[in-house]
Parts: sequence; structure tokens; C-alpha cells
Amino acid sequence: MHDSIIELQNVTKTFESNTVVKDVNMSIRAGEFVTLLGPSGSGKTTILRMIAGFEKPTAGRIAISGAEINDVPAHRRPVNTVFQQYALFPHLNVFDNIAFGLRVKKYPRNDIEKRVKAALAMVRMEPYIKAKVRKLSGGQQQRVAIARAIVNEPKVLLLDEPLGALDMKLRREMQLELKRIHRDVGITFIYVTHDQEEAMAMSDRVAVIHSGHLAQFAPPEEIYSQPSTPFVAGFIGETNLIEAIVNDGDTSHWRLSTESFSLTVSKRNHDIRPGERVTLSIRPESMRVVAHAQTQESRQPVVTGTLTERVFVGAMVKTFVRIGPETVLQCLETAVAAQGRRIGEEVALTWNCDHMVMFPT
Amino acid sequence: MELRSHGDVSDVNQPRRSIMQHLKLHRANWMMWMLLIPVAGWMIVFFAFPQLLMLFISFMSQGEYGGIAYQFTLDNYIQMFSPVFLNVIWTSVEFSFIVTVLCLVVAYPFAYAIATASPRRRLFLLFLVIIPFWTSQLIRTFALMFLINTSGLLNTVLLQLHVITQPLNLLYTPFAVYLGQFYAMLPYMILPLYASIQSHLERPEFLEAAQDLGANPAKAFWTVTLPLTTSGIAVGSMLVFIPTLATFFIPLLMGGGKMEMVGNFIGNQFLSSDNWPFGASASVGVIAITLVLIALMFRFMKNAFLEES
Repeated sequence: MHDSIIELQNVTKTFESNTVVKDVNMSIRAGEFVTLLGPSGSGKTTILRMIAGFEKPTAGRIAISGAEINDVPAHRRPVNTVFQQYALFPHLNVFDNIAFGLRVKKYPRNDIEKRVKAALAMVRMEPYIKAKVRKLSGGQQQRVAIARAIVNEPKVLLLDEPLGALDMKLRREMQLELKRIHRDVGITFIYVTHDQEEAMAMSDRVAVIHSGHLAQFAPPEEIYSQPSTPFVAGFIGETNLIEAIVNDGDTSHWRLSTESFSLTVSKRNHDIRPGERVTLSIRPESMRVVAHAQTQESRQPVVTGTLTERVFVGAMVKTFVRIGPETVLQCLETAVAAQGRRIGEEVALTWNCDHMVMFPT
Repeated sequence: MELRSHGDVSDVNQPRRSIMQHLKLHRANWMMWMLLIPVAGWMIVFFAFPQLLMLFISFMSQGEYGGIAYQFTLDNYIQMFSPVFLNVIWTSVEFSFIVTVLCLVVAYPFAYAIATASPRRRLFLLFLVIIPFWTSQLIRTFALMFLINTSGLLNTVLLQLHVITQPLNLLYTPFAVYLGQFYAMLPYMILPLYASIQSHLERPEFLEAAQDLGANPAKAFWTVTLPLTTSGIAVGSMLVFIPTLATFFIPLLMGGGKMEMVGNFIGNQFLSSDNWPFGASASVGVIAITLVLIALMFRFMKNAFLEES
């Protein structure tokens, strides 16, 4: 991996007796936009803080451009951070905040001014050059925090939930801004968030962190269509998870049974054994509601149940169908397709098994 | 009766409710004033009234045989510009300034150590700072005299260890006055500094941001920690500077009266020279200087206070 800028090898972090990062391996390429995605407390921020140098790994190795940096203090690492609460210096104005890093590195005075102005232009905050930071709005402080980091031209920009404190509309706006800035400056971004939509929208690759483990590290489309674990499937987008057991099979297909129905899957796609327990994941948009009559279509599974709820989500309708005492499946249909169905009605659900993911339990 | 529409009903209810609120509010106000009376009374009788009396006396003349002659004059204020008095004022301001700086330099690292200590250790260190408040300032000053006089503990130990052959003459020197005042004032500097440093360290992201931007720990201290603890420095400095400017018995006891501060000067006007009007004008002058210095400090520190909160 000669083109990797950041390399994590078997990185583990333990606080007292609590292991928050477990044996994480990652290789991040130069110029990539990588998101560390996970629920709060999953260890994603700790990984970021270890790269920044605020925490030291208990075990493992972190390297930047091939050189190990485990023992390099934060102030000598070629990375900069955009902090969650911005952490702008309250005693300095916008210009002095952005100039801080350059002054520490003893850049010539007129060079500092030129670079600070360029950074302010990058985040579109030129009019606020002399403003007091406490007079700025959250979104403006955010932009100054980004300028303060990128003005140092780091090899890697670390962003710790930078949009967490902003309202929804501003968040969407800043997401686009960040993508643009990433394109313009061309440096590697490592972005921490718990918002899966944000991760999907912004990243080249997403690293899903689940209780300290790296669950999956792949481009957003792959994470969505081929999740590696039921956790990933459930955390990224919505899905129906169904427990099943493998019964037997014929030459080309396996027969599986669940609490309330059975189905067959092609042997080609799934490496399973009779008697094995598995979890099936079917995305709501892969499911179709069909009339009882027209259900005998080749090998596609058919499940019957009672329509319990319908929820409008813009142009789509979410339909909830109870197929067993414990199991409610959801199906995402266009409003046109869902027209005329009533709550309490008996319906059948079907789906294409090619779009179904199976995990060993 | 027919006139009573829905509108009337609500109109009747509206003021009734607000009258109730009004009464409640007034009762709260009334209670607050009641609680303030003892303190306010004390302050009026024992602080405001004597100060006004001083102000009044400062415009009176000295009696032929001492005492006060009730004749208006500005002489006492003109006298304040005599070289003798200006010299005393200058000595006091310089002394207070040096003591404040000494306290600041010694207290800051100590306060920082308290703020970063483990909870157990922190409690112990704070305890050490507070112990002196258990004994009167006067007794502690006597204790200090006893420690440094020619036959005191310090000289005895140094002689026994053959570090010195002759006892050091420490007591009744300017050094002793500085030592005594510094020792008396140190806790007043440590406590506000500790509070300020503590709340600064509770938000580690500022220091982390400084490190992240390439500042080593020393640089981060000078560029971030120090400016963000300005309020502690300001409060501590005022708590040390103002009492030191008016210090009275420490120069008298530790310096043997050789170092005359404005506090001693004013005391002498009342006690030995029997010139109450000049003593009164001098104390009005000291209060004026103090107020000006506080005002300057506040103006200088205003932004720091706003930024830290």
C-alpha cells in the first residue's frame, strides 16, 4: 500500500479496564474522503484522537506516509483537526485564530496575511476577518474552524462531528461546502459522524465502527448493498432482519424456513450447510406487495400477512405487514403502487432473492 | 347585567389575576428588602457614615493645639502634593506593585499544580492554602518575626549548619517587610488563580486546539492558558494590591517603622501628629487612587472577563 497516507495496524485503545477500540486495521489513501461512522460510544472519536495525537494507542501502530507516529506528540504531526465544539480561541479574533498555526511555525508576516485571506476566501468568510469569534453564529464559527485547520496545509484533515451542533438546513448546506472544500484543497479528510445519511452523502469510503471494531470499510454503495454484518445492514439505511434455518436442498437450491414462511435460494450465491442458522436482510425497497392471486411466480418467496400501518414519506409509502406474532416487515412502495390498500387487509409480500443478504448467525 | 358579554368576563378576570401577581411580586420584593436591612444598616453605620465623616473632616482645619477646627479649607488637599507625602505614596505604590508581582509569580505555578492534582491531593493542597486564615494576621506576623530575628529559628539553624558565622540581620529591613506582606497576601492570589485555571482546564479543547496547530506545551501555555486565565490574574492582583497599598502593621512590626507606607503615614497623622484633617484627606486620597486603579484594571480586563464567561 505505497499510496496510503494513513495506516492503522492492529490499533487498540484501553481506558483503565475498558477497551474502546479493538484491533482496528485501516489503510486510507491520499486525497480520500473517509468517514468513521458509528453510534455514540462506538470508539470512532477515539480513533480520530489517536490519529491527531491526543490519545496514545495501547497497542498497534499508526503511520502517516509510511512513518510510524505513535510517539510523535500532537504538535509535531502533519494533521489538523476541526473540533466538535469548534474550540476557537475566545481571546483572539477571526484573523488571529486562523493565523495561530502559521505564527507558531514562524511564517513571515505578509505570507501569513496572504494565506489567512486565502483560507477565509475558501470558506467564504472574508468580510469577518476582524470579527470577534463570540459574535459569530454557529455556522460561521464552523467555517472559521475549518479555515484555521486548512490554512496549515495538513496532509490529513480530521473532522470530529463538525456539523453536530448545526440545525438541519445549515447541516445540509455545510455538507456540500465541505465536499467542495475537499475537492478544492485535495487533501485527505477523515470525518467522524454518527449520521449515516451524512456519511453516505459525503464519503469516498465509509468505515463502520461497532463497539470498537471495524465492522466494514468500503464505498457507500457497497456498504449499502453488501453489508458485512446484520449490524451494518441495520445501521446503514433500513432493513428487515429475519432469522432463518437451513433445512435441505436439491441440486441447485437450498430450502430455508423461518418462523412463519419458507423459501428457496440458489446454491450458487450462498455458502451454507443444512442445520445452519442464518439472518436474512431484505431492504424495504426490494419488497413488493402483491395480490394473493398472482403469487405463484417461479422461485420467489411469498409471505402473507396483515397490513398494519401505512406511513407517507414524500413520494413513497412505507407499508408495515405483520407476518407472524413477533414479525412485522416493512416495504417501501411508490405512492401510486400503494394506492387503495387499507389497514387490516390481507396482503402478500414478495422479493427478489438476488437483493437479499444472508449472514451466518 | 345584560351588558356582560364574553369580553367583559375576560376583562374582569384579567386585571384580577395581574393584581395577584403584583402582590406576590411585591411581597417578594418586600422580603428581599427585609433581608437586606441588617447588612445595609451595618454598612451605613460602620462604613458609610465614618467615610462621610472622614470626607467632612478632610475639609476642616487643624486646631491650634491639635484636634479639629471647624473651618473650611482646601489646605489638606494642597498639602498632599508636598514632596514628603508624594514620596510616601510612591513608596507604597511601588511596594504594592512588587508584592503583587511576587505573589503572582509564586502563586501561578502553585495554583496550576492544585488544579492538575488528583482530587485527594487537591483537597490537601487547598487545605494548606486555607490554614493561615485560621489564625489572626497579627499573630502570624509575630510568628514570622520570631522566625527571622537574630536569635530566631532561621539564624539558629544556619549557624548550627555553619552556613553563616554571624546571625543575619533580616528583621527590621525592607526585606522583612516584603517577606511579611508577601506571606500575608499569597493565599488571596492563589485562590482566584486556582478557580480560573481549574475552569480553563475543564475545557481541554482549547489546549488541544493549540497543540493541534503546532504549539508545544510552553507555547500553548503562553498563547492560550495565560490569556484565558486573565480574570483570575486580575481578581488575584486586586485582592493583593489594594490591601497592600493600605498595609499598616506589617511595615511597623517587620520593618520597625523604618519603611513608611501611606498606611503608617495616615496612622501617624491621627495617633501622634494629632492632625486629623490631613490624615482624613490622605485617606480620601488613597481611596481615590485605589478606585482609579480598579477602574483601569476593569477597563483593561473587560474583554477577558467577557471572553471567559
